[in-house]
Amino acid sequence: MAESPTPAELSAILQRLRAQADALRARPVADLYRTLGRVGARFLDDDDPLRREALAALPEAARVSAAMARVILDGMARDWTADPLRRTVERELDDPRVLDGLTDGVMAVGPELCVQIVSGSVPGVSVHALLRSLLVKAPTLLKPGRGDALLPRLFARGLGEEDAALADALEVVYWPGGATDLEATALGAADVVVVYGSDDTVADLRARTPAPTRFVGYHHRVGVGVVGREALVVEGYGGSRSAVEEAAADLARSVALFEQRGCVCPQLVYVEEGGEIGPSDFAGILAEAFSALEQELPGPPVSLEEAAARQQLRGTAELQAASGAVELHHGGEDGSWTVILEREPLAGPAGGARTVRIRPIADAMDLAEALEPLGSHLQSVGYAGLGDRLGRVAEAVGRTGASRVAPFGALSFPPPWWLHDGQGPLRTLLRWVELEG
Amino acid sequence: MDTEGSFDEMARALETRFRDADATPWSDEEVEEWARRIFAHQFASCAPYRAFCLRRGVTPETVDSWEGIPAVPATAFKYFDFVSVGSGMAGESGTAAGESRAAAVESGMAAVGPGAEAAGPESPPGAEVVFRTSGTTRGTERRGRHHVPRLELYRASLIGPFRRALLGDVEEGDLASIPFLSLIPSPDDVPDSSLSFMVASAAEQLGATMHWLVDGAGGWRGAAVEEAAARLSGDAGPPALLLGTALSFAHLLEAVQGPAGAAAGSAGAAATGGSARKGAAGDPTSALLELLRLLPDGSRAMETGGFKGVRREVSRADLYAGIEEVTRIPAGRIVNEYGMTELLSQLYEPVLTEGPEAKGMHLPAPWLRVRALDPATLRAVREGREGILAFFDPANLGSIAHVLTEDVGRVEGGRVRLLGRATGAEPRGCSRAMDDLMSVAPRG
Repeated sequence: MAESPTPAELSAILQRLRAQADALRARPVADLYRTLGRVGARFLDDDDPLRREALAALPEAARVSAAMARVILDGMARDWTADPLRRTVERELDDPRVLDGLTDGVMAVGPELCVQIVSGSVPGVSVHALLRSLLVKAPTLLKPGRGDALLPRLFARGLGEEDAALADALEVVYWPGGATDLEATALGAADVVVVYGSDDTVADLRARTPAPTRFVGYHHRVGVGVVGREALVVEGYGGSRSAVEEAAADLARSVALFEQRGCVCPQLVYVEEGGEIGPSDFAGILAEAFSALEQELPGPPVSLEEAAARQQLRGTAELQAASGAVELHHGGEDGSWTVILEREPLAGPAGGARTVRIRPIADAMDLAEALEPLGSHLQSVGYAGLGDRLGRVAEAVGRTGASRVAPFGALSFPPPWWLHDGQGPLRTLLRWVELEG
Repeated sequence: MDTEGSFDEMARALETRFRDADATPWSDEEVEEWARRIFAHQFASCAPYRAFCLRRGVTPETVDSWEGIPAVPATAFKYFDFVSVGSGMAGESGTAAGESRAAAVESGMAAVGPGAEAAGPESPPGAEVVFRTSGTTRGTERRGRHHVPRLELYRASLIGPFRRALLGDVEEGDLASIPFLSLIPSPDDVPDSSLSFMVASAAEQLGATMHWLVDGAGGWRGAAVEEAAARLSGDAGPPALLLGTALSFAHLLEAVQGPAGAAAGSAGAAATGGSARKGAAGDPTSALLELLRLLPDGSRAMETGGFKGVRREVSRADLYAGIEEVTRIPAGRIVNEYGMTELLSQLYEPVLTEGPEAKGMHLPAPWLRVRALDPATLRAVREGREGILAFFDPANLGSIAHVLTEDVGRVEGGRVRLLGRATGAEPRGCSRAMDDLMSVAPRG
C-alpha cells in the first residue's frame, strides 16, 4: 500500500489504474466474484496467514480488543466470499450479464476510474467499498481512514497473490486527512467519486468534485432501536432466558459491536410503556446485559482523551440523575458502557463507546414521529418485541427516513446486498446503456 | 441557609483580595478557607449542584478539603444553569422548582422529541451576563452557558494575571499608552463572549486604547485598522499588544500573505467567514500591511484557543513562525493564554517574564488550583503525570467553582502542561452521536 505519495505520484497511480479499464471490462462478472471471493474466503480460514495477520494487527489498528476483532472480522469477511458477492450483484441487477455486454438490449457500464474515499474507523467498511467498485468493473483507488487501513491493505495483498492482473486494477493509498492537494488530484481524475464520512467531509469533497463527475456520498448516520411490549415480558419462549433478557442481550451486543462507531449501532432506544416490564426496569436489565458482555467482548484499552470524554458524559448524567431527570447505570472503572434512562426527552452529551439512551414511548406507532428530527441522519432501526405490529411500524419509520429495519441480533452485519442508505450501492456506480430498435 | 456571609459580601471580599494579590500563589490555608465558604454557599444556593453533591454523599459538613468538593464536568454547562446567588430561595437557580426534575428538563433541550423546541434559557434573576461557549461553524452545536451574577468578580480576577503575563515589563505610568490591537471582536458585537469581555475590560482597567480590528462575523473593520495604523508611531513608540485567537491569527496571515502563503499552506483553508476574502467589501490588505509594518519594537501578542470545528488546522510552530514573519513579534513574545468560558480565571505562559524556556507551561492565576486527575478514580495523579485537568476557581463564586474539564495535561510545580488538545470532532466511523459535544470550548 502506498503512503502519502506526492500529487505527481498519485497522478501516475491514477493513470495506471485507468489504463486497466479495458482489461477489467473484458472479464466476465462471474469470474470477478469468484476471484474476489477466493481472496475473501482466506480471511475466514484460521490457517491462512492473511487471517492470522489480520487478527494479530486489528486490535491495535482499530482500537478494539482481540475478541472484538475476531467478531468483526468474521462478520465482515463473511460478505467477501463468492456466494454473497454473487447475490449482491444478482439482487441489484436482475441479470448480471448486463455488466458483460448488451443483454436484452440493456448494458450496465461502470466507471473507468472510481475513487473511493472511506474515512472512518469501522474495520472492513473500506473492503466492502472496494469490492462494490471492482464488481462493476471499475479500476479503483481506495483511500481508507486511519482506523480502517489494515484490512484493505491485506485484501489487496491477497488479491495480488491470487490474480495479479485483477490486482493491477486496485490501489489502496493512505494519506492523512486534510491533504487537500492529494484530494484535489484524486477528485479531478475520477469518473465516479464515492465518499464515506462525516457531513462536513462529504460536503467539502462534494463541493470540490468537478460537476461532470458523479459523486456518491454516505454522510453520517445514526442507528436507533425500539423495544416493544411483546419483548418486555419475564416469561421466556423456549430458551432458558426470558424474552426481555434476550432482547437486552441482543441490544447490548448491537450497541457494543465496533465499539459503537458504526452507523448501524443504536444510540437511542425507545422502550414501550405498558408492558409487563417498564422502561426503568428494562434499563436495569440492559445494564446487566452490558456487564455480562464485558466478559465475552471486552472493550479496548482506553486513551486518556476517551476517558476524559467518558467522565464528561457520566458526570453530566449524574447531575441529571441527581435532579431526577434520568436514571444512570454504567460500568464504572471496569466497563466502558453507560445506560441512561431518560424520564422525559432530554439532551445529553455524546457518548463514548457503548453508550445508549433509553427513552420511554407510549406506543411503538409513535416512533416515526419521534424520529423525525433525525431526518436524513436516520438509517437503521433495530427492534424487538413488536409482534404483528412490525409491518406498520416499519412502514412508518421507513417513510420518516429509515432504510433498514432489523432485529437487534442482525443489526451489526447487514447482508452484503443491503441497499446501503436506501440505494443500491452498485447501481449508484453504473451508467445504463439502452439499445432501441 | 447560607451562614457564611451573603453572596455580595463574599464577592466583595474576593474582589479585594484578587486586586491586592501579587503573583504569589495563595497558600493552601487560604485556598481551603475560601473553598469551605464557597462550597457552603454553592451547595446552599444552587439546586442541581446540591442534588449532585448529595448523590455523591458530600456536604459542607463532611468535606475536609477543597479536593473533596465535587467537580462538575464542564460539559454540564450545556445542560444546566448553574447559578449560585441567594440561598434557599425559590428562584435560587432561576428554575421553577428547586430539586425536581423540572429543573433539568426545563434547561435541557430535547434532542429528539415531538415538538420539542430549544427554549433559550432566560437569565435567572441576578445574572448580569450569560457567556456562551463558541459553537461549531455550522452553528448547530449546543453551547455551554456560564451565568455570571456579578461581573465585578470577573473584572477583578482577570486583571492581575493579564497585566503580569502580557505587560509585566511595562511601567505603571506607561500602561495607558499601550495600544491594544484586537483580532477578537468587541463585546458590543459578541456580548456573550467571555474572551471579548476580558479583552475589553483589561483595556478599560488599564486605561489603554482599544482597537477592535475585527467584527462579530470575523470580517476586518477597515476604518479601525487605518485608525490603529495612524496611531502607531513605529519603533519610537510604546510596544503594542496584539490579541487574537489562533484562528484569527491564521486569518490575519491569510489576509496579508494570501491563501497560499499562510503558515504551512493550510491556514488559508482553515480560515472561514467574514469579508476578509479578497474582493469583498474593502480590501484590507494594504491597511493591515501598513499597520503591521508600524508595530513598534517590543510589541507582544496574546494568542489563545485552537482550531475547533475547522477541518484543517495549523501547527502552533507554523502559526508562530507566520506571526513572527508578518509582525516581527518573535515566538518568545507570543504569550499563549489558556482559559474557558466556564472559568473566570485564566492561565498564561510566563514567557515575557521568564523567557522562551517557559513556553508550553501555563501559570495559573495565584488563587486558581489545578490538578491532573486519574480518569478512573478522579483522584490526583502523581506530580508530573498525565491526567484530566480539574480546576478550583474561587472567581466562580456565582456559579460552580470546581470544574472538571475534558482537557488532558500534566501539572508540575503548580504549572500546567497541556497535552493533545482536541481541535475538532473525531468522526466515529460513519456515526456521530446526536448531540454535538466535544472538549471544553476555549472562549472566542
